[in-house]
Amino acid sequence: MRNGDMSCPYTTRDYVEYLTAELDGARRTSLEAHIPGCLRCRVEIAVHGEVLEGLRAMRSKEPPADFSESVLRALFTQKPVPRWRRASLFDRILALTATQALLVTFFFAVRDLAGRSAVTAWGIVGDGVTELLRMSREALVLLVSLTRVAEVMGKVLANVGRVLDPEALFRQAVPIESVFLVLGFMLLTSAILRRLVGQPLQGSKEVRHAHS
Amino acid sequence: MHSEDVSLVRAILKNDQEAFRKLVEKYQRAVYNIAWRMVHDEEDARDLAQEAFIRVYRGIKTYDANRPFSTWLFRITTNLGIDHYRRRKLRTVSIDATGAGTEGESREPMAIPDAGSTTDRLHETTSLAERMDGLMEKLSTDYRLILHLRYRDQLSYEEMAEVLAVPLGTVKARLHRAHRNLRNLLGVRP
Repeated sequence: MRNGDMSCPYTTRDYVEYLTAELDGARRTSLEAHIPGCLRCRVEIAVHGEVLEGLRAMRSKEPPADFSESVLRALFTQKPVPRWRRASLFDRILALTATQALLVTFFFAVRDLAGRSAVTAWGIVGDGVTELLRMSREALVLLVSLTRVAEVMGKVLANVGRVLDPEALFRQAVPIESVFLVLGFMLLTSAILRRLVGQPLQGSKEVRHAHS
Repeated sequence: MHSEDVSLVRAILKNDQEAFRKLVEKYQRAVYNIAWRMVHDEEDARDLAQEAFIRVYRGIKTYDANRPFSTWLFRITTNLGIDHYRRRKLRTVSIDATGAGTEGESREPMAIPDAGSTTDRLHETTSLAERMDGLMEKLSTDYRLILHLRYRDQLSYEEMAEVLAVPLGTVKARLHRAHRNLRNLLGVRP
């Protein structure tokens, strides 16, 4: 800010930097030579001196006494997680697949059992259980294979990531693994459904023919 | 100071919660005060400061150990303060709108003061510090923050530029406008 006096070229910046000893040599020398003959500059320097003194004397507020505790609590105190959410992704997929297989098997079993004699019915149930066990074994093998593929892919990406940008690529690798797992789940589900719907309980038909 | 911070950060990266506690205790006052200067409400300042530390913890991997930790932390805090300001649309009085014109455009000629009158005024009823706090409240957030960073936290121009994410020239211009506005608030019309 100029002083309003056109002959006085000094600004707020000059006064403040003069007071904080930041004004460069030539400008400082010039201002120092100017001050004795300029009452306005003397006033400005006095006022800005007061402002600076006030700013340096500014009080700081005390943070709340429990501040650090509250930060740590917010970060490290975790809410209880439901049991089903604590299970790993693999466990959840396995549980879901098993439940699905049981439901589908139950549906076909009920449909086939309707109106049959006790001996036929027991034969159908026995075949159903055998079929279910065989499918479960196949499903497990498929799932383990897919998980291994995902794991290997993840490792490959992580190694590539170390060379390029570790963090960014690691973050990218995680969803890719998830995609593989989801894909595996979808393949597994479709395999089970195809087997159940396309060739429903072949063994039980043979049992029924034998009894009839 | 910097190497101490870096050691703490390294410990935090190894999941050392005690190191994080030390870091919080070391900077809580500075962070809380920056937040308070920006939001002017104790509860909001507490929430904002807490959020700043939480973000620091969660983003500690992104900290560049070649730069001062305090600058990084203050930048996170000021960014949160700006977000808070935008969200709440806090109404602050811009001195530019009410005070004198821009640099070099003061229209009112100044009268000549009596020697020592400014000091007498400043100490008239309250202490200098209290008076300054009162005047600071009348400044816009930008000016309050830059004066706080400069005179409370004693940051260099370069550090302020980094914290505020603005060019060095902007920092200097803003700081001097803040000085000018504060000086005008003193109302010295001798």
